[in-house]
Amino acid sequence: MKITTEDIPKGKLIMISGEIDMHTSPALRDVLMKLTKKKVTPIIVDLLEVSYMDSSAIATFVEALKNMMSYKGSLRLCNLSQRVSEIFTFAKLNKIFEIYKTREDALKNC
Amino acid sequence: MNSKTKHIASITIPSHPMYLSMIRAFIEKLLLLIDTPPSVIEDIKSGVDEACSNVIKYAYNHDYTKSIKVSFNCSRSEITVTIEDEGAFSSCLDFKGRDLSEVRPGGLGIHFIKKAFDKIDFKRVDDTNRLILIRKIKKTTMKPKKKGRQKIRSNKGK
Repeated sequence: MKITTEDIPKGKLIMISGEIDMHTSPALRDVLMKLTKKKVTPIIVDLLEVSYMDSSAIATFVEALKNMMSYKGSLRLCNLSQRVSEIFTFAKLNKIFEIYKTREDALKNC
Repeated sequence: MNSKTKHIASITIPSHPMYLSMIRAFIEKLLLLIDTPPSVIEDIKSGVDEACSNVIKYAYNHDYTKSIKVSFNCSRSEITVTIEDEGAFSSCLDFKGRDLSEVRPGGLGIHFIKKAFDKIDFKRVDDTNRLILIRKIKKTTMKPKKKGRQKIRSNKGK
């Protein structure tokens, strides 16, 4: 898994590629926890190149979302593959997260 | 391959999370051999990945020096996956996942395992945990096999 971050006018854009599993999710958690500790908002996560996601990845995003709720931050996910989208739906999290079809949509109002 | 043909294969990995991707790649290649539908392959990859993660976390308590054996017995109607470890007694049958209407980290893995498999069984044999996962394959979801000689298509120019 590779994580790239980029400053945007407001907040931060995170681009992830590869597989997010028990081995790689701690690195993602580190990035998200550092940002939420600084109360960064919005955080936009582009999942275009994510080919696999397990329950630890979902747990990492849920933890970040909960942290952000404390300061009314916005965590936006975009470019979910069909499989990743199905995982969020199965976990009943598709309506909890702000999910956008494209990065451009997620970046609106940033 | 006729309907009675069985594919038996196994892989043993160290109990380190970095090897979970190897298991997933192995599953994909193996199940493609028997024309398993992509959605079923993804389900099984996910279910086995979660079950092996549980072994690392609970049976081995994050001891990365142990091993996990994953065996497959595949026919065109059923895929049986057996996951063996020599860690502490740990049966995912006892795991209670979180209520899916709750929003909190954790407790999802067992739901992925149950989503992937029709039958889940656990046995403790001597000092070995043996988790047996069975996924039935509906015949209608299998790709039809062409009879006779098949033309080899070239991808050139595509």
